[in-house]
Amino acid sequence: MKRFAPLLLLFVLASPGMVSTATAQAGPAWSVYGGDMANTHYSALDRINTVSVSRLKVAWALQLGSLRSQESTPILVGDTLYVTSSHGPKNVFAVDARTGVVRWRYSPEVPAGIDQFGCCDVNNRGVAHANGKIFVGRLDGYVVALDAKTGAELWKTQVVDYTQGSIITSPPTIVKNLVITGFGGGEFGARGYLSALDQETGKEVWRLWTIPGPGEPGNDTWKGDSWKLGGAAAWLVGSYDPTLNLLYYGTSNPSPWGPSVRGPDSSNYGKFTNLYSATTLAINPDTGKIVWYYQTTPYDAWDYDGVNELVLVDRNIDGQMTPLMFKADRNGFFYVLNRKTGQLISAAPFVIVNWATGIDMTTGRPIEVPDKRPKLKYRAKDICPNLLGGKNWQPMSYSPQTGLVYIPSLNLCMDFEGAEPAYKRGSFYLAFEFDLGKTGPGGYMSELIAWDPLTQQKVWSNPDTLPWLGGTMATAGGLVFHGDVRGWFKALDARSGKVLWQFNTGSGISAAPMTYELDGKQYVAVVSGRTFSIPIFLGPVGKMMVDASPEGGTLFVFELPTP
Amino acid sequence: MVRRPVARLALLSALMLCLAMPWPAESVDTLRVCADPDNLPFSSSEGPERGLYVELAELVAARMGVRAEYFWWRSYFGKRTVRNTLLSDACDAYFGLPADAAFMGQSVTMTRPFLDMGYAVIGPKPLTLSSLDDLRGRRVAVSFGSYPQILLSSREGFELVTFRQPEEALQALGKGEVAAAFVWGPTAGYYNRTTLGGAYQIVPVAGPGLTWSAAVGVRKGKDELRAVIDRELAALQPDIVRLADKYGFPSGVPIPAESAPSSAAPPTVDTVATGRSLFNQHCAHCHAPNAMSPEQSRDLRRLRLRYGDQMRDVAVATITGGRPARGMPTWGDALGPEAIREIVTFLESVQN
Repeated sequence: MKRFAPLLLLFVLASPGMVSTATAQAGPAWSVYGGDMANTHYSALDRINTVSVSRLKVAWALQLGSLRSQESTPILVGDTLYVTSSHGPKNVFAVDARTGVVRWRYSPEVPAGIDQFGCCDVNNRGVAHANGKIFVGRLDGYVVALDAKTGAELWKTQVVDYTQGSIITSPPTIVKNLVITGFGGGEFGARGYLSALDQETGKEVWRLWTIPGPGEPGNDTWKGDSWKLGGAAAWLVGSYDPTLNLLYYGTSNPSPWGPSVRGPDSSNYGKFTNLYSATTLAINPDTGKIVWYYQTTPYDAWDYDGVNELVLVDRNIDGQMTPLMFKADRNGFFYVLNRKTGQLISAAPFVIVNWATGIDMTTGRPIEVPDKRPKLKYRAKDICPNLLGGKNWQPMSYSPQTGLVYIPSLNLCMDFEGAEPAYKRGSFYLAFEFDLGKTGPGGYMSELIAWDPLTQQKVWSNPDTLPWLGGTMATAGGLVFHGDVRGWFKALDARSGKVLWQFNTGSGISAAPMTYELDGKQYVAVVSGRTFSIPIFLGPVGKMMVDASPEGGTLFVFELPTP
Repeated sequence: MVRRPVARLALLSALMLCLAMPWPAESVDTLRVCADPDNLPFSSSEGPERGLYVELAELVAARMGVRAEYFWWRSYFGKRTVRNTLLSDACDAYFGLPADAAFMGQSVTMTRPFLDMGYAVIGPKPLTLSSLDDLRGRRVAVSFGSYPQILLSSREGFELVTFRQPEEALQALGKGEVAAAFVWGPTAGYYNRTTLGGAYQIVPVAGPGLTWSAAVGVRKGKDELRAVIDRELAALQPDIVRLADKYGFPSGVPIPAESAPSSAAPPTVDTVATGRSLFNQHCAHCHAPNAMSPEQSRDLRRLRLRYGDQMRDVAVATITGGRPARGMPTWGDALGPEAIREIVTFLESVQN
């Protein structure tokens, strides 16, 4: 897709920084999950802006045919909008982006009882597109290619056996002739890998194990044979920089949760870092080999997944335009890296963090507070953030207009012990019960944060009494859009956080919105459908979330009515 | 007393009930039971062997004069399974839930426990273990994420071989790839019986996180049904022992998981000391000095695990009223309420 060039030039001049020229794409179209391959979730469209947004009205809606835990962000190709529902996906819809009229629908047979295999619900975050094909990752471990015009299935490849607890929930990453995907399973003893399939045939071109095997460098960062089922699954979305030809993915927590299995059960973990779990990976997409890595949480004991999306932005550092990567990690730290070299430029807590006092700039490692590391038979109390992290999967966005990152953050703490909370089939027995849902200091449970990535400071924030804000989108209209667990969909002033417009969608919103332009008209789209499984982890806090709105499954599309 | 898979009498409830218990009008003909279709030795939707829970449910239903009907659902996740089955009104009773009132909050009511189970070490005969330390230096198969994996990996000198499923660990044992497996006891026992020709020996292991008690869960408010099931379970106690034996559940004296049983750090609080003294005078001959009984069914350091928040109430009631049919005397008159409270306070200080 061509970017909307005139607009871009305008804000490049006026803005403190710019989206990586190599990667930013979201102009009139939004053809990839993250808006562009840099995952900025930013659009250069500005017809809907701080002035006009108050007139925003529903243009049309589409019922997605499933309830609960909708996490999909639609993409636009030509004048067709592609959107998925939860449950498999139960449905992939191709609809007329002007009217919502369905052009085709793909409803795969999803094995009965599959919801037993996902740790965190039967979600799907959307599809990817390239060369007339729509690529869908499914809960049952398959990636399928569909004809973008007809929905006909062109090929189908099994990437992983879902009965191991490994399910695909995120859209694959398109690089050149490849479709690249990971899968979940960090809770079930998977050994993670990324699989690159040929777009034409579906055949696997390469596979990158995200835990080194015996004899490979890094294998000795695992105790005993724990590497075999050590997790490190790359279940969220990837980013790609075509100039550097680097593919970026984050990996999940190591497994099992109990760290004594994987190392010395101590903050002095020595070589037992458990590579490449909770790690940002830079990969050569031609070979599937790791170019550099940066581990955010070595020898994780908190379930601080490292999967959060990598946002690629070029900014001026010490007079030098520098290729950067932003990551708001679950562990509560905001990382700025040089995405060419992997060098750490800065790291600072973007939420309340008490398990580490900071990041050692020499080693890049967290400076741990030993009391807050859960161990076998040691329950660490009031650890902040909790295992949902300072930020979970819901995407942040970056606006080159303001130079700020908009983070849907969490403020929850936990009591945690270095052991397994899971039931085992046939034993039906809970070894440990943890308290995961403790409201963090300050009494709020989530916060939409506008973060300056270069000064590592909060510019403004909107706290919320309930957790689980939806993903964000920034636009050249000076706006930030996001939803919440009550079902409100809001447009904020990107400079102040002031709510300029809101609409009640009737069910909680987790998914990130998107926007597109057709025939000179700008639309904003968001999928509504409250999270189902997250509240279950959170005890009384979860009850508040469930009470906040019913389950749902609807795509809402908004427009400015013609006067 | 030789440890058998402990079939636990539901005596208290049985004694409190009248003999004829009316059966709720809406379910006159059937007892709807939720069970996993493919989870032997516990349950299976297809024969010839149906599993202990299914056979037990048949016996309970027969005594109730109704027919057992099954709703099959794979039980990969404890609470989710219960929500999707029992709490969705797909059945009336779930056999084999943890005997813990707090398990599903207020929504599920449990019967008294009917069976104790736990992890066990299985190895070629003769397998003589005095403690887990005897496994040092040998290849021991464990299942991923299980408490044995966590326990042994936190100690020096154990060579673990990890498998995703206990059956895979047992397969490796059968092939001689490991010296022993430390896995879920009933699974080991059943595999030994059906696949290994009974050639291996099984030693149960006792300790925190390694054992649990199974009960039957019913929905909140179904107190009549729970009472009926409690009564039938009590009457079926010999059958439960027989079924546990049939499916190869481990029996025998468990070895402790801790190499040196912690000598229950002497409490300093006065009432605790008084309680310990009273306990050692009146209770220790059956329950061991300082309550450190190696016999699991008499180990009162496990009361918290068994009864959770109800521990204190259960302990006071049981000491006061006794369990005559099981040989537990009635102490209410002999000791008086204050001494019993002090004993229970001591017991609280030594819980696992």
